[in-house]
Amino acid sequence: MSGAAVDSTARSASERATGAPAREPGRGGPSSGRGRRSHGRRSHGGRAGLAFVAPYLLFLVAFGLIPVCYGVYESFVVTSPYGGNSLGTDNWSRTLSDYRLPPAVEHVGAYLLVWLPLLLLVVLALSLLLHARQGRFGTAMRFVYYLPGAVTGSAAVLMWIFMISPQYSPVSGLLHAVGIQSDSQILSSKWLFLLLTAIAIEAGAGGWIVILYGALQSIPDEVMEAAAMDGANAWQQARHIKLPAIRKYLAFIAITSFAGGTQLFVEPQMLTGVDAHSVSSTWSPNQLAYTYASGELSFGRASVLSLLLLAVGMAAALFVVYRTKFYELDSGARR
Amino acid sequence: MSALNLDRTGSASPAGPRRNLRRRRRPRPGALLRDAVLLLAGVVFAVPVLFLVIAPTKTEDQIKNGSPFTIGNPANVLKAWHHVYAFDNGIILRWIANSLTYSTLSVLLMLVLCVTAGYGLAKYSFVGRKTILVSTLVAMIVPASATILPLYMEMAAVNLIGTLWSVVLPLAFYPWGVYLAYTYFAGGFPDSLMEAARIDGASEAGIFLRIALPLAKPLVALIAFFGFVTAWTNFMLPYLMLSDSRTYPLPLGLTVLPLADAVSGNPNFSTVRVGLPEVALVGVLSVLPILLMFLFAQRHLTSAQLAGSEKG
Repeated sequence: MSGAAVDSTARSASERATGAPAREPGRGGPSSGRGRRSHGRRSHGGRAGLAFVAPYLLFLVAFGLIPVCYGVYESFVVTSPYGGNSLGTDNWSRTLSDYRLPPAVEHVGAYLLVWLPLLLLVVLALSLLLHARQGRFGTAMRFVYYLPGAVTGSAAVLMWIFMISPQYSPVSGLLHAVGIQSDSQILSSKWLFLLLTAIAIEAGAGGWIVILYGALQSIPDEVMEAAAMDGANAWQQARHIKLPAIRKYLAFIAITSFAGGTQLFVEPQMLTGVDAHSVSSTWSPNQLAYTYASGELSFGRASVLSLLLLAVGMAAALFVVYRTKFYELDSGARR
Repeated sequence: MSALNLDRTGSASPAGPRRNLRRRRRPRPGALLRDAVLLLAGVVFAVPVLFLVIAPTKTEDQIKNGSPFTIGNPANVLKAWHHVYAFDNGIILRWIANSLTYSTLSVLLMLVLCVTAGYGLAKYSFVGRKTILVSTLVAMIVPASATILPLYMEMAAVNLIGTLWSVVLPLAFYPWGVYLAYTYFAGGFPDSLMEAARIDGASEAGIFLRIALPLAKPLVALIAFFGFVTAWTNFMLPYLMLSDSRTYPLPLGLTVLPLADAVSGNPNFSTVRVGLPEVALVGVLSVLPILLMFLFAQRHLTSAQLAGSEKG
């Protein structure tokens, strides 16, 4: 029965992918919804639900499932220097024994340890403060926090290089105070990850603040009013009402940030582009994967490394998912 | 202070003027400290951008040797623009148009996919629902470099390489947006509304189109905004899929300009005069659409119309 449902909805999905959006529920909807009089989600589930999800499902398979499967396959394809391909584990053993891998993992590990907690703290603190400070000032600040993240590409390179160069930087006093006289001095030190942390927080926090602020806004007024009436102060309201209410969003931020952090690429890569002598082009694992693919033309080894990064991200994601009961449709819990 | 709040009550959320009343409060020492922290953070976030915005008003020499926050001559902005525009007969305008086309198309498609899927996943249970949820989460965290190459092969197999669709379709696949839609509908859209509509004889499609969708404006704004930013700033995808520089989006087109050399100070042998002011100008230009989107979307990002609907 479910097989037939999948088939019919998949067809309507392929029709939709070529055009005519927004009418999709009309195709699956009336036939499956007709004559239903019982209440509750389950009795209305089945085909209507699948009809809503089907178009996306098509994209999920085409751009999610198929490429990952292909990546797994690619990681086992060994290209002989004399021509011809065969299947084997060469890519895996060569990647895992690469001398550049352990330092790259170490760099990103140190970066994650500092950046992730700091990011969550900054995002949570500023969101809660903003939520407590409605009005134009709060709106303006939210906009300002978002600004640095909107700058990308060559302009971002220019912007950050100037911020960290002791000769140009507005915080040059601070840089001199910790004994930094030139930018290559920062870039070549083992403290580079602290610099990347600062850049990533400035560029990344604003987007998350927007999301978390939106989540805070959706807490029902009745709840906050009741809390205020019961004498809860601002801190207690934040700790016992706001925090639990946005738990899912925090988990979401943690998942995505962790996965994004393990894939760190753009920031070190742009610093490499500016000063290749100081910043290694294989500073992070993802840079190493990129080096495999573009510099050494080994898509197999690039796939291996990407799959390893994927595995790390998945492990973390499943942990957070399990802890925060990601699957629960907590519609009943709110009323 | 209270005037500001009243003003906000009037403009921000027509659904519930009542909800803003509780926010009116007397100034306290804590509030002052809070504002100070917010403002300090604002300065930290604003300084790099301020530098970038000021830079095109200065000459190369002023940027390198002057103090970072003195404003130069505004006429220099025009000069920098002429230098950028001179490159390949103003191809920069074409890149901007391309970027707008790619981003707009993918965001529209993305919105349809994300909102319907998130709604279906949150409000119905069906065979395979959990699998799709887990897959969505996994797709959310797959490193782009893991899928970009297989994706290229896939697009080549269906003869889409070099076309607009090779960029638009993969961009429209946005599991992040599906998850946002899922949490939005699961957490904020009450089943009681759906059941009331069913009793009134509404079809499932009707419930979605007439009740859920109008209530999901903040969600649509959120997905549209972040989707647009993702599409606008995406680099790797068009880099692989497109080869004709006339089809490039703006971020990719900028790599054709000798900007990287200008930043790193390498000698620039091309006849095009592209230096630091030009880099900064193009940077400001490429950020503008994102900022406009933010200003456009943020009113929706803050309104909490769902919270009001629950009472009705």
